[in-house]
Amino acid sequence: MEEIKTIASDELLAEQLSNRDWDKFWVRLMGRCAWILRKRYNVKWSDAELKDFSRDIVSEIINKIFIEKKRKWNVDSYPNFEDFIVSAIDSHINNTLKKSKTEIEVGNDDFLFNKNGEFAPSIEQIIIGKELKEQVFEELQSSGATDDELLIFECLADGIEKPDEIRSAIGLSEEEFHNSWRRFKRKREVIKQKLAANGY
Amino acid sequence: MDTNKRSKTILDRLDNVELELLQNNTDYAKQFLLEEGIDPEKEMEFSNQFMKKIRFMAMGLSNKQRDQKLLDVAFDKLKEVIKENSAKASEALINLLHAKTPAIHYRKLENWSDDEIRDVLSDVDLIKLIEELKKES
Repeated sequence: MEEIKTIASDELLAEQLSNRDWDKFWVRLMGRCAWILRKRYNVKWSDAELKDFSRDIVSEIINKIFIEKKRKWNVDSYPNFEDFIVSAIDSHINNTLKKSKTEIEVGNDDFLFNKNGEFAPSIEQIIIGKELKEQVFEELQSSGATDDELLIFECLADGIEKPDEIRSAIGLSEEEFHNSWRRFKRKREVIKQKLAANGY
Repeated sequence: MDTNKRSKTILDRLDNVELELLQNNTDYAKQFLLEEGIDPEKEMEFSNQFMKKIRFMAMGLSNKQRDQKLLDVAFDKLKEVIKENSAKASEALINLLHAKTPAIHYRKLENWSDDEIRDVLSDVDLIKLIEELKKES
């Protein structure tokens, strides 16, 4: 049976265009774009190149959605417009980098895509056991992690991955959580190395 | 046991939290951009100008589509009335054309090609023409 897709009407698109705070949304989209480029693809570009590339990606997607109408918003798959545009941006980054990989220097990390262009976990990215969890905990402690950072680690190890859930589990204000999170995320390499040292 | 949880590592979860914060929290995203050497205030200025352009272009596109729909309706209605009563259809259209350019004389409507009709329709008040044609039919 043929799958029926519900594509957003022109009116629904016009509503998104006029009723959204695009200045703030733009900043969030730029942030996501820059993060993906720096952390997943490990691009070694200058800040200016990173900014220009991210701007191009976000602008092109907005243009494809609202003007060229080549990117159709399937509201069944993405009831939330922000989820739709984020997914479009992720795939546009992937396609653009693939097309221009000879011109752009992209780091050779463990980041892999499956055939659908989605992120596929590498061999080291599997669940860790209790013993290893304790070792990573100790490693984080030795690296100077604060109690809040260690609690964040505990939450992640327990499978909690929603920022608000972690924040309320630890009992921090939004600002306190953001500060602790920023310190914690800088220790990503510590976790990664510990996992790698244990054959993950 | 939740298999989704089992298949993810701490590194995946760390990245998911980071992406969710960037997607949903503007202040957090601003701070991240600053860390990456990108000025968030300049991005907001850029976005403001860019989105103005996009809104303007989208409005133009929407007006064009609306005009085309109206033109199609007027054309179909005119063809329908020509079939039933060519003289009255001619009168309705030519009156409207004369209101704009009184000096020009027009041929009989039944001798016009579809392209010629479409061409002159772009010069008349289509809503008024459709109303006139409805009276005639």
